[in-house]
Amino acid sequence: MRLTAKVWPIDHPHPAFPHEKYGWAWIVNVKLIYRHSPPTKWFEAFVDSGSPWCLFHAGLCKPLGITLESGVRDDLGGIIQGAKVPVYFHKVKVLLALEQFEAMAGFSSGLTVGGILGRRGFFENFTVTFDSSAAPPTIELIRSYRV
Amino acid sequence: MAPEERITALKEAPPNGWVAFSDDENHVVAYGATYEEAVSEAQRRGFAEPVLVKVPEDWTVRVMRA
Repeated sequence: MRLTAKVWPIDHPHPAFPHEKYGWAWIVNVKLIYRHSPPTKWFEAFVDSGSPWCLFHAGLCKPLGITLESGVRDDLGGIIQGAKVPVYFHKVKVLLALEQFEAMAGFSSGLTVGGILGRRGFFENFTVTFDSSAAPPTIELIRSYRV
Repeated sequence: MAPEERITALKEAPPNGWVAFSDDENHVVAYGATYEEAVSEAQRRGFAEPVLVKVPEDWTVRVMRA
């Protein structure tokens, strides 16, 4: 499937790129299912090859019936040095368009976005091609089934 | 929704909350401090299948590394 990138606000034009009023981001709509819960509504998640895992905002736990702190705990930091925040891992199903995959995903209240699709769970199930030469940019996802 | 309209909609949303768009993503239909509040308000307004966006505290450019 080929999807179009979405625009994402920036605080103010960057001095190095003064004519850019917003950025394009690889954002896709996903739903989550936990065990036999009803799926969440569609929400936006960022495709991020720099993240080892899929991460989701902890605010999604309650509607899914997940007890946040019962998961496997780790601490999450950003690329810029700073405070780390706890992240708790739970196994969920992720729906993306007509595809579905399972992921041991981290949930954290410190996440600034709804979701991040990282390497484990997402990139290991899709061949992903980013095309920033197009206007608007596009992302192509081809499902891969490992044997 | 044109890119500029989406930018305006997101920037007008309360920080740290959730914004619900219509299922065609052309209109903002609700805001909420939590995911559940935004979904509930969208449904109350007749939008059963909204598309949710988590709004950050600010729009600082972030680079992730987990």
